[in-house]
Amino acid sequence: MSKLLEVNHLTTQFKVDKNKIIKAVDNSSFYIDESETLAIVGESGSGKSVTALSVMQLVPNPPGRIAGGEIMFRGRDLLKLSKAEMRAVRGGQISMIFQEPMTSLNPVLTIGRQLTEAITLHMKLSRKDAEARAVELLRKVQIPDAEKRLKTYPHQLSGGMRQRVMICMALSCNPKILIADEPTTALDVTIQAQILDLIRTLRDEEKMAVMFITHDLGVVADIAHRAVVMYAGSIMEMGLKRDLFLNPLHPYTQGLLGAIPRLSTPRGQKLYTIPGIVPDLSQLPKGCPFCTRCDQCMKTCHEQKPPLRRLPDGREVRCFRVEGGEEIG
Amino acid sequence: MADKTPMIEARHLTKHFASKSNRLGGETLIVKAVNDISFDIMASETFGLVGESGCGKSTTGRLLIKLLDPTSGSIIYKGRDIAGYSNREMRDLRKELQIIFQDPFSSLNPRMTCLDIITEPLLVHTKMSRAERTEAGYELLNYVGLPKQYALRFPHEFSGGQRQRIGIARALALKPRFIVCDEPVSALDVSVQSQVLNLIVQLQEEFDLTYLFIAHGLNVVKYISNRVGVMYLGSIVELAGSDEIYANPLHPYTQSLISAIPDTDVDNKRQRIILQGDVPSPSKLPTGCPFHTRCRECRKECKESKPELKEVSPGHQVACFLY
Repeated sequence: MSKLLEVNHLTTQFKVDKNKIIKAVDNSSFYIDESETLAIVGESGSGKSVTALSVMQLVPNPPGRIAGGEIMFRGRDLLKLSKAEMRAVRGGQISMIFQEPMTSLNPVLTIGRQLTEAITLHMKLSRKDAEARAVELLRKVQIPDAEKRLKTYPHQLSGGMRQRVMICMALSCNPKILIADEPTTALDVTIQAQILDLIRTLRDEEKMAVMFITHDLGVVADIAHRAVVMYAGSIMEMGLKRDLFLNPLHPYTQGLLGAIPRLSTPRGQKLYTIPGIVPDLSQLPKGCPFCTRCDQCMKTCHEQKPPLRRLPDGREVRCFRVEGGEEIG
Repeated sequence: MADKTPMIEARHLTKHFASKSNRLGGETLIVKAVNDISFDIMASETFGLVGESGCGKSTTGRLLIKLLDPTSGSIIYKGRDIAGYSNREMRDLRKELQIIFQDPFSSLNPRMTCLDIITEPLLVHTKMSRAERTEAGYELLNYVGLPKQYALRFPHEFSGGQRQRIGIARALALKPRFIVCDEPVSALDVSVQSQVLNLIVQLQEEFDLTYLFIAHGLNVVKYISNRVGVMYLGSIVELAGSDEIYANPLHPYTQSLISAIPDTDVDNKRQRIILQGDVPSPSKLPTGCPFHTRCRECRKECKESKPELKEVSPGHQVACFLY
């Protein structure tokens, strides 16, 4: 499999105060292969959403700014494209769906109008052809009475249906990559299962890659091939899903997995806890961002930030406790 | 462990809300949030209530401690039916019946200090002096694992998990017997959730508390509860011990709910049951079984009459014509 998207040393900063700059994403490198699902997992403030927005170049500027790195997509660095060139990529070859389907749809325009907008723009179809395409897409995301739905407004649809419309919109131009930013967080579990199933089916049918951003490790176990674990703007660990869940190497990944009650956890058994809280990005510790909460912390961890290492089997870990492999940044 | 005397009993509890379909009048919609549910919560146990949004689980929690007045039915607490009690009659009981809310951001007054928030119940319900209340407040902070020096801070200076601890301290202030935990960890980060769950379990042992634990994540509920009730559209469709309900779910809704929970056991290959369609609106309940519109096992009788909750094996109740 060839690398479809390669993000190298991406750093995205936000100016939060006159003289204060925080790095929401700090020197992150990862890639996505064709037709694979890469999950980016992290808690609030870990930089997972900003990573997605950086790929789309939707980081609000100011206060945000992509300060360095490159985003290689099909041989081109997206960061070097002109605004017009990037517009052709965004929503065309790379498209995105968001967490809250109500706020990302325009409440005063019909579903049909919103769906055909991207189609007419990117595919240069007439309105009539665009509408036909929209109906076809609505059927693909399993919305009943597709023709009638074109004339409805977002408030007339349920949360699950709205997310289907969002997915439909994202798919309208046959993207190569679908970026899904917590698309099921606002939905109920049975509806979440429907949407995850839909994304999985569409990924296989359309042969697109999915970058799935979530805080829910259960969802990662369900949908991903590979996952990147982020903490306070840095990638802590990357690996194939099974490796990551069965043999987590980084203390943070180990802690996260231990903290979640599984269906097999006996009642009342004390859950593992990661002490403390997610640090404020403007007050990160000097060394490893996780050192203040880590139960395996050593002296060096407080002094310098461990590099990300790529192990011989392809796993990547940022921890002084893990040795071998090569430093990759 | 849980003994066999009920702490609180719900009998045919029903709550309907009236809502206008639009601002200009028109027909009045009746939202049937909770429909004729009956269950007991035993002393010292944790009773879990799960279901999707709009299934009436939070309304049920609020009805039990009379933050809402039931439309009909009774609530038996200490042998008395408190369903018809006035606010004044409830006042003494409020000390014993407390609640922890889901959102630690909107449930704390931003203009009060942490200490004022957790000692306010003492101000209202006891004749303690200020010094005594402050003393009690520090003790409460200690119980929930917050450092003393945080006492005079305001809510915005705390993280989500810490705020939830303040909410828990406030609920504990009057030494309650029964606490409704309404999705207490849903709004928290994963690494903080387990801290709060451990605290909730630990306090139960320390103070011999009885919990109604409401959540939509069945893994959290399974972990914390002795028994679990599954709600769908205002009805309890299944009720059993927490190990039993997971190992042997009977109702088709429970089966699909359990199969839909994303679990982190990657090697646990479960068969997924994906439900079709959405939950019907509680203002337009389907006839018959509330679940029949999405059920794989739906038969003719399901559309016509509503199945009653009945015991199919000791302690395992289900409302379905299949059993």
